[in-house]
Amino acid sequence: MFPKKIFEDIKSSDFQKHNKKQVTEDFVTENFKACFWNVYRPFNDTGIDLIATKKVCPNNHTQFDDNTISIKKCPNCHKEFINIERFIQVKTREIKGEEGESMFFGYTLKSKDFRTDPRHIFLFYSDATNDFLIVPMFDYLQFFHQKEIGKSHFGTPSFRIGNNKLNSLKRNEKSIWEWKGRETYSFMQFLNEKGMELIVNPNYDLKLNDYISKITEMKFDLFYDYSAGRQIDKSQQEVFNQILQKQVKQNLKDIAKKRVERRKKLIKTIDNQLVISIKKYFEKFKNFDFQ
Amino acid sequence: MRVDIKSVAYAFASQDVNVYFPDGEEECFMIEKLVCTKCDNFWHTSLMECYFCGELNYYLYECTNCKSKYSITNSSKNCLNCQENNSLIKACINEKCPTNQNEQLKELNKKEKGVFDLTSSLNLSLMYCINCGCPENKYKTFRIFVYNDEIENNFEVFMKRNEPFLNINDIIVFKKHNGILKYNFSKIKNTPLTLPTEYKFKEIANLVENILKL
Repeated sequence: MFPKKIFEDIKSSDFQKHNKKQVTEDFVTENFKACFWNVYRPFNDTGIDLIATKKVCPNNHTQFDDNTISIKKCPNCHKEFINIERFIQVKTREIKGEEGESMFFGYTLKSKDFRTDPRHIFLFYSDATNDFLIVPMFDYLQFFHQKEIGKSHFGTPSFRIGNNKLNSLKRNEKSIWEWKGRETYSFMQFLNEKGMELIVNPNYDLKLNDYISKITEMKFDLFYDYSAGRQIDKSQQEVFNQILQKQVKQNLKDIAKKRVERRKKLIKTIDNQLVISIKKYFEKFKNFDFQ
Repeated sequence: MRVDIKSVAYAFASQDVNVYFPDGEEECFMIEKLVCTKCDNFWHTSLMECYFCGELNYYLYECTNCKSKYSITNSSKNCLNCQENNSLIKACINEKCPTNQNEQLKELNKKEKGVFDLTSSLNLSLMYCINCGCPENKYKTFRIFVYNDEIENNFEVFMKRNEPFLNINDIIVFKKHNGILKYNFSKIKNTPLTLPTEYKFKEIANLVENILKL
């Protein structure tokens, strides 16, 4: 059974939104450790709540809960193990709704959460039902890219503001997890053991560059598919999308050069005090030389 | 965790590298950094760029009337140059940006107090590398073990003790006390692995920089 109820003395309802982060992340950590993963916890706030690593067979013979700690080769094909790393971002929520009816798991994701590394994993933890929905970056983007529901998630003004609370992830009265928009799509392929099977797959590591390219392509398609929301007249949506597509094509060719040109022009046209002020803001971004 | 290992870990953290501690027995820590896949430059997810043209946020106010620019530390929302009231917005500095050209986007830009206002929908977290413009990023990680000459006196014993935990990509940082602190490092897969004869780094910043170049 995965996940296990590791902390027998507590119930999810013992904790409130303000004090549950530490305990729920520790709950995830202990469950990974129980499946013989090594776990590392961040010293500072990095957007990653834990890094989990495991030695696995490169031919995908390793189960997510196999104990591979003290062995070096796959007992199945005798290939030497490789070390895989998963960068896990945990979102813990209490599902809302009436007991016995469909309940929703509300969460937000911001543009900064979407890195192009396939080893980045979203782990949605429904503490009241003890369910993990474990979704690798590639699979998350592909889910929305293939299903024509991406616009309502990524194209909206509220996604860019960072306050787009998504309420479409639901657990129905038969305990089936699904994404319910105009149409309903199953989310069961990410649930508990199924999700763990996805992340133990070494292909994300062995074909890292291929996955990065695919993720980048989907990310750009989804992020630059402008949805007007309530901001502007819908008739302008198409015009804005045309502007965006043209600009993205150009940016992929020469954005670094253009940024330098515009920065030089900016420095020439503002006084030195202002240059010093900008430089101070950029101090926190290491390896960036403003001038 | 041993205090001397923690001390090295915090020195890494001071260099803007993300540090992770093991929830287990290993005498090590892990460093992680999101980097550009092409040039290895740090990828700063908290740096914002314009949604419509990709220009970076330069933390400036601009007057919608006379285009004068001010620092965002400026508390006034009125332009000191043309005296226009409430005319300062956090606009994109690119004059050719659609938010400065297209009439409807110009209106939206004003309504949202500029591309880079905290509540504006006209910006995104970095999409293109600030150094080379590449749109792809990935995590770079290393596990760091510490050989501290004040605690260890036999390298073979150190290696044997850590053997069950070591992987070929791990790093050993060698730390020497000789009046001043000096460091060197080596990757596990560089065999035969021996104690260094020279301690190249006096500054932890140089040590971190060179490890991240691997």
